[in-house]
Amino acid sequence: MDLIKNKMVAKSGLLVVLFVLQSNSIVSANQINELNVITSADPDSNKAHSFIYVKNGLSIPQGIKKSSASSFLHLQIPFVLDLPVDLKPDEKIQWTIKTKSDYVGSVNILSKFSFKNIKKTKGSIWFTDFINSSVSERERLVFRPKPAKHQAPIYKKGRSGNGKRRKYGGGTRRIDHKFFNPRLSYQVKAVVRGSDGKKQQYTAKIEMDNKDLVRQEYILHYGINRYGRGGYGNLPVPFREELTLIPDMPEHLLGKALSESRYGLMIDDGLTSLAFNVVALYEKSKKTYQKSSRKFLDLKNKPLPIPKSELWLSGGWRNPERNEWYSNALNGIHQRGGAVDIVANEPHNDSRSAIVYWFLWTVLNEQNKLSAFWQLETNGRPMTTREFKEDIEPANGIPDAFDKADHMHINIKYD
Amino acid sequence: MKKYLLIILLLFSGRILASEFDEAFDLSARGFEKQANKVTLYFNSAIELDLDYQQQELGLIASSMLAMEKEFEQSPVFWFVKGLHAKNMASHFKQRGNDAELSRWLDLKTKYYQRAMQLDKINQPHLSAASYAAMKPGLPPSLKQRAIEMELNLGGNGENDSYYWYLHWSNINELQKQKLFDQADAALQRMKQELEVSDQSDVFESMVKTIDTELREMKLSSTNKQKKPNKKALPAVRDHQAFTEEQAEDKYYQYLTLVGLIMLVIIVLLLLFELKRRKNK
Repeated sequence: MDLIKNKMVAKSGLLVVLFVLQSNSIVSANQINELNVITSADPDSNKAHSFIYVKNGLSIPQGIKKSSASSFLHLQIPFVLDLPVDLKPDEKIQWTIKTKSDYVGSVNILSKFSFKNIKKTKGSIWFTDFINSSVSERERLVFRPKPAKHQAPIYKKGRSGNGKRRKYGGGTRRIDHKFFNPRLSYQVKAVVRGSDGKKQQYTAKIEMDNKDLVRQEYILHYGINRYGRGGYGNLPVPFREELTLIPDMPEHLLGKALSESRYGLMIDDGLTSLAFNVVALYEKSKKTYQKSSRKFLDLKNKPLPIPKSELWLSGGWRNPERNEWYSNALNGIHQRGGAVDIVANEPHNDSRSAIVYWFLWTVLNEQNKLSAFWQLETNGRPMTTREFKEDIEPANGIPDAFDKADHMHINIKYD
Repeated sequence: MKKYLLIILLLFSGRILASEFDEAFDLSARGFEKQANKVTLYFNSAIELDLDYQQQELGLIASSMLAMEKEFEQSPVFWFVKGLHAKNMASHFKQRGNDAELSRWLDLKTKYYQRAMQLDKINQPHLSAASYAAMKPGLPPSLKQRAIEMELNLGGNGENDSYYWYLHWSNINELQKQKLFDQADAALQRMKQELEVSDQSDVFESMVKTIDTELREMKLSSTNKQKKPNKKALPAVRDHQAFTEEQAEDKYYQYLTLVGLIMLVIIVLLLLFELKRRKNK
């Protein structure tokens, strides 16, 4: 056993020495040029040298917005890297692919020349010998990503034990240490050695940009098995153009959660205008009540104070990794960009917040101007009809549903 | 029809029931899963059975849990489930309009939750943030604050970051309401410290300011109230008058006593003088 281990160490060490020796003169390379790169059939993604990864045999719908035309995602094109110059017969070329993260897993080389692999503490290096003109198409490197599997085959909401729940923010804070949300990245290098020993270096970086990173999250959650109740993941993957920058918050709405992610992006399938309309109705109704003699009465017909506080937006668009950590709803509408979570800007489980929720509920129901669906929620579940009738926890003249509410979920209507 | 649908649901959807409690509260009810799942189903859904059938069902759950009480008497999760069930019973009697039973079951609910929280300090499996979140509505102030604080310590059970910071606010608010201002201050400091090391201090800055202002105002108002009742409790004039009257009365009696004593001394002196005069005779 020890002998095998020693042999492996020796082999690995030899490869490192070989690679270092071969690459040593790179330091003295004259100029660094860029390789011609094709990473994706999507022009926008290709322009950014970005990509997504879809397993062979999978067919996933794309186009997430209500009005989007749907199509299907299949196996993606392999990466094609071309030397921008023609090689002379006496010149030799060495290709190197370097990754800095274990998330990247392996690569599937489609070119005809062979690669050696060195596994590093973090990441890997694949490299060729200097290839002479006897090998055809040596100016072109073709390979596919072969990443490590998504860590969670089952959709499972984050656990709350030992106070650790808040350490993971859904992949977007890049503090994830459990293989969620891998940003695949490859540094490719070609070194051309002339007959005089001079070397010329060409490089390219292929890396998922934020848009493709988000799209990859949707791909990885498609078909994911629901823990406990419910079906499987079935949300389409957004087109790149469906991912947009985050607009300014509507006036009189506190918080900054139009997008809950840290990507600086969002899908807006009506959530911004929904938030705007809800706030406008709430603010207008507050003024109407304050100006008129109409009272907002509790269950014992005692007048309640009209809320003074503004509303707080606690939830908007949510990327799938974040949704998995926080929500029971595998295919929740927050991931489509069609839902907002509104919070009373008062201490929760207090009569002050209960009054805000009741007032907002009354306004939305009376006005009925929103083409939307809304429900009060607590502790990850919607309120029951019983809780709208009861006034026992506590008996304060306000239905329990409003006393217990921790937010109001509002979403646009989907078929 | 609905009744039979529910019975079918309860009997045949083992997969649903198996995960109902676990999924709702992030907890394992090993040994009493069946009861815990049924209790959760009643707690989290709008059960529309007729009241007699409902009472029968709830009664069966109650008696089966009672039979298990000895076996699980040290389990915080067991007492948490008993508390949930007591809440279900309270709801049932509310529907029936039976206020005495409603009140009795609400008291039991508080008692069971209190026991669950006490046992949670020592025994496993420990309660989760979701279970503390379920317990807090309608509890007496100190117990409610304890549930909120425990939920906070476990990271909260919200669907977003805001929830956690609002939980801080709830905790401080409950302490304020009990006039535990030093503890409220300490809780606010903890919130500030946590915000400082988070990447969200700019978003929640306004919330901290509001809490800070509220706390200072409540403290001030409480101090003023404490001062005012003293003035009222010591209606200066009346108390002072009463004091003076008593003093005057005392002085009057003192005076009388003094006069009496002087007269006694005079009498004694007169007697002594008379005795001496007679001797001399």
